[in-house]
Parts: sequence; structure tokens; C-alpha cells
Amino acid sequence: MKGQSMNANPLQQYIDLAREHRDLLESGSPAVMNALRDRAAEVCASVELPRDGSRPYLYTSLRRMFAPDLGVNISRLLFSATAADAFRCRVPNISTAVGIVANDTFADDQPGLSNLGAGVTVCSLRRAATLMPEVLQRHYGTIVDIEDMRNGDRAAVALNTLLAQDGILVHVARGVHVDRTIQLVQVLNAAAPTLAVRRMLIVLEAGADASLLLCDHTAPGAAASTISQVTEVYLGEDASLSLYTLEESASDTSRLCRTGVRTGRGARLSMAPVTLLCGTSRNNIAVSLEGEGAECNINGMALADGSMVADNNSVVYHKAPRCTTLQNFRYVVDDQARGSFEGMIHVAEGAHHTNGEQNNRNVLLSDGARMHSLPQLEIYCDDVKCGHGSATGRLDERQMFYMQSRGIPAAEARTMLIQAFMADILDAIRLEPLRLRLQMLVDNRLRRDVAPSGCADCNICPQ
Amino acid sequence: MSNDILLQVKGLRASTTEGKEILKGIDLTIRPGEVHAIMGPNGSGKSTLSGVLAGDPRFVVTAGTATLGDADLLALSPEDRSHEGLFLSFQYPVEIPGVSMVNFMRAAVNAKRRYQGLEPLGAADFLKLMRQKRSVVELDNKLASRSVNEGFSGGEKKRNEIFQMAVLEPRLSILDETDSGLDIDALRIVASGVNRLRTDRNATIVITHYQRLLDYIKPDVVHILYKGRIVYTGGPELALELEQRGYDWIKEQVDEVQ
Repeated sequence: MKGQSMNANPLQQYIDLAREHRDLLESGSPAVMNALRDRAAEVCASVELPRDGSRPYLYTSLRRMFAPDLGVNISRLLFSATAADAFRCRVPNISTAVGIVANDTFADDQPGLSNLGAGVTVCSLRRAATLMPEVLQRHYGTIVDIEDMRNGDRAAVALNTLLAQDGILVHVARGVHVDRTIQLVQVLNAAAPTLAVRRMLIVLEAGADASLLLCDHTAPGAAASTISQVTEVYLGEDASLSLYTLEESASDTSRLCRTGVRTGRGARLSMAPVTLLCGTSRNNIAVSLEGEGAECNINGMALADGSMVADNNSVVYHKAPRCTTLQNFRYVVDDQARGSFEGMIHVAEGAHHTNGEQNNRNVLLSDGARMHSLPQLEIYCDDVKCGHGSATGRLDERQMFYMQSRGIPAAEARTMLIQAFMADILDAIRLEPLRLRLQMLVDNRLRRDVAPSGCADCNICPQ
Repeated sequence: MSNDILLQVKGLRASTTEGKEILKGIDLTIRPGEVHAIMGPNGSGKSTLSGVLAGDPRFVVTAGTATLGDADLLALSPEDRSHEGLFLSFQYPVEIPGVSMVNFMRAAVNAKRRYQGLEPLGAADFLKLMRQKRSVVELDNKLASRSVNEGFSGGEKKRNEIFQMAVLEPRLSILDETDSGLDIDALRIVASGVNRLRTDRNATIVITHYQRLLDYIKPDVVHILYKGRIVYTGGPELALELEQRGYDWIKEQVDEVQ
């Protein structure tokens, strides 16, 4: 919408679009997705977007993300297979099962995702509607529920729900262990400014075990675009999921990602949201520990420079006894970049013997860099052990001088100290090739010898 | 000994970054093969002198010159001073959690080789070098796999300093209060390490408060630093005299003149 005033609802253009193309939007989409559209449109029309610069959206401007005249691929034009072919992950020795998402389109029957074994399904939501309708019915729109949220989060999820026409289901049947990491490379490659609407549902039935790596990239030369992602995760009793998300897009790619998780008794969740390159990126993570003895580790890191905004908002709800949470986030912020962390551990009445730890540490490398940090605890139960802490500072001058005095050049010393600062987070990544790869990416990132949309031997550049 | 001059300091004045003047005109000439001791009461500027020579950003040079061989020390970054052959053994070695000793030393060794136009050292050669040099100060192999100085005892930290000195083979080593915090056994190991590294081409400045270390590392020249100036220079016997009489007689003499 051109020439709209700041007071207008930036979401109105998408509401209009959805109304005008209702048939196109709904044709072929699973009924369970279509069923939520009216309510989503209502919410989009009525919701108040947070004012720029107001918490909990201090640095992320939803207006700026959604106000541009972004195109939506409503007629589901497919990108050619060769375009997707160009994006090969070349993380050495990673041997993942790789699937490609082009903008917001996931094609079924990708060769990289065949042979995952019995009980493992990775398919589009459209196919899931016929393959396992009961799974879709049970979980879609229930883990990340519009009604549970407020303001910005609510608007973002409503918009996604209004426009999503497809998505991905990852389903692992009861007791099945997936040996190989499933990697989904999500590539933004738009000729004109686009709103990519991505939707994912991850369901691990009781006792299942899997690890998933989501890589977000932007193809070189792609138009400035926004990604709206909603990921819903359900972990059954004693299920175990490692969910790594690596964002290495472009300085004009914005992203708003809501990840909701609901866990059963004894389930284990390990998340690693990693932001290396983006424009404005906001992660809203909400984990609900609903069964006794569940475990949740979130190890996040962000390297922000230029005018990047790296924004994580992470809430863990303890609703059952004897659950454990560790939230550990590290940021390195340079130039005029902005980092933001708001974290919360919420312990409900009756969630006794909760063990919660929340830690945020940040390094500012320039005078223009800013960091907002707000770790919070809300405890409605007596018998718990919870702690939180936050520290923001510069690199230690004594350490720098000590290294330089041994002949290590200042830039290299700086890189080594930042790597050391991130070491805890990287060490927590159990997938070794990914850990090594991340170490390299962090290193490249710090040395600034990266091309605008990836490093020299990154997977995303056409060969 | 030779007539070449290794370190030449002239009229060196330096202040803290807050503007407090600490060094008020230092002159010092050191030739290859020599060991100089710099002694003096607390607060006289001993550690400032070593910091200023190594390029510690906490100090600002306001006047004077310092050359190491042909190199204008004060114009160089701390890393290039190291590459030119200056080594400072810290009074308080810094802990660097998350940076392993191995990576730290590899970065240091290869940076120097790069400066000298040499190829980086291969993995096998590097490990061999580490093994050889560790033996100089009997440094435990286990320490090498840990983070730099993290969780090291006082003695281990000082031994680690001398180990680094052995690896980097400096032309001029400054040992800043290397004896502080050492028990007698550690002191002996550290001192014998320093002595083993002595050649007729390198030189050492030993900064110390006490005579004790000088029983093990024999100085050729002893300087007394007081209120930012070298007020007295003599032979090894000066250190013994200080041990017996303390610093008061020096202070009195100097303060009288002023």
C-alpha cells in the first residue's frame, strides 16, 4: 500500500489481499488451515501493533517489517528445481538429510529427504492433510494459539495464520530414533519485495528422538523481504528434540519467527537459535513444560554488526513439577547494531522442584552499539530453585593487552576473545559438524571477510 | 658482552591515562648478554616502566625515546614490539577463559613467523616446539590443554610466563616481579629456566623488590628507581646493600637533594 500514513494499520493491505483472493488462498490448503483464517483476519484488523521503541519490541519495528508493499506468492508459483539445486549445504561431514524451502514453498518428494526410515515423515502440510490428518487436526494452531498472545506477537501470528497456504510437517512416530539430522535450508530468493509466509509443525510422539537444523539464507541479489515464520513443536512423553536454527540471510532480510513448544512428561528439548546475519530478526520462543520432569535448554547467540537488529524473546512456562530450564544467550554487538534479549521463566503454582537458570551476557564492540537485556523470573510456587543474571560490557582490555604483548595482532586477539566468549554456547551444540561449522562461521563473521550474503564456501552461493 | 646497544631509553616520561605522571625521565642502556636489575620501593614506577616499554594502553608516553636494536619501540603496537623481540613477563598474568594455551601459543608463534616472512609452523613441528620448551620450566602437559592461566596456581602462572618466553625467544625480556607469590622451589625452577635461556645475544631486565631472586639470577647492573627516576646505579653489591639497609637511606639522600 503506497502512501499510507503511520497511523494506518500496516496489516490492512494483507487483510484486503486475503479477502480479494480468498478462493486462491484456500484452494488446496488443508481445511484445518482455512478454518482459522476468519479469526486471523479479525485479529489482524483489530490488533494494535506495538509503537516503535516500546517494550517488548524495543528495537524491532513491526511497522517497518510489514508496512512496505510486500508481495505474497498467493498463486503458489513454484521455483524451478534447478534454482533449488544451486543451494547445497557443504558443511563438511555433516551428512544430514537435506530439504529445500524456496521462499515459503516446500516441494514434496525431495530426494534428500527420502530414506529417512520407517516412522519418519517430512512432507508438506497439504500432503499431511491426507497422510496424517489427525496429527494436523490435533496440533495445528493449538501450540501457537492466537488467543494466548498479546499485541505484537498476536499480530504476527495472526498474519501468518491468515496467509499461510502450506508448510512443512516433520513427524516422528512413537519410539523412533532418527539417526540423521534433518536439515531444512530455507532460501529467500525474490525478484520483488516479498512476504514469505512459512509454517512448520514438528511432532515427536512418545519416546521419539530427532535433531533438526533450520538454515535461513537469502540468495545474492534478492529483493528486500520479510519472513514470517511460525513453528509449532509438540514433544510427547520422553521424546527428545534438538532444534538448531541458523540465520545467515542478508542485511535487508527481516524475519519474525514464533516458535511454540509443548512438551509431555520427561521430554527433552534443546534449542540453539543462532543469528549471524540479517536485517531485523525477532525470535519469539515460548516453551510450555506441561509434563513432569521435562528438560529445556536454550542456548542462543547473536553476532550483530552494521545496522542489524538481533532480538530474542524467550519464555519458558513451568506448569509441572521437577522440570529444568536453562536459558543462555550471548550477544556480540558492533557498529550501530542493536541486540535485545528478554527472557522469562514462569513457574506456575504446583510446579514444585523447578530448576531454572537464565543467563545473558553481551559484549559491545563499538560506541554506537546498544544492548537491551531483561531477564525475568515469575514464580508462583515456593519450592523452586531459580536464578538469573545479565552482564554487558566491552572486551577485557587486560586480556587484549596480554595477547598483543605475546605478538598476537589486535584483530586476531579480538576474534579469539569473542570466540571464547561464545564457547559455552557452541559447546552446547551436540551436532559436532555443525559446531565446527559454526565456529568457522563465527570466525569468518568476525574477520568480516564475508560476502554480503554468505562466506566464500557457504552453501548458498551458486557454484 | 658487546659494545652493541640492545635497549636505549632516553628521557622517558610517562603518565597514567588520567594524567598522573609516574616516570619522570628514565635513561637506560642495555647491551646484549647483560642482566639488569631494577629495584626500588613500592610505587616508584617499576611496573610502569615495564608496561610502557611493552605498550600497555594504561600509560601515555609524554616525552623521550626507546629503541630496541633499530626499532623505535614507542612507535610500534604491542604485538610488533613482541615481534621485534621484546618480552614482558607479567607480575599478574591474565586469565583468559575459553582460549586454550595451545591456540594462544600457536597464534603467537605464527604471528611472529608471519612478521618475519616465514610460513606458519606445521602441527607436528609446533607440538614438538611446545614439548621442548615446556621442559625448560617443567610445565605440566595438562596445563597446556587448559585455558590460558585459568585456574593456574601462582607458581604455575609464573612458570607459564617463562615457558612463553622460551617459545618466543626474545632479545630482551622484562621480568616484572616474577618472584612475587613464589615459594622457594618454584622460584628456583623459574630462575633456572631464565638462566637456561640466557645467551650472549639477549638481555634481561629483572624488576624486583627483594634481593632473593637475584641470588638465582645474577645481575650485572643494579638500578634503583625512586619517584620515577633512576637515582642510583651500581654493581651486584648494591642489591646486597639494599637487602641489609633497606630503601630509607636512598629515599633520604634523594629527598634531601630535592
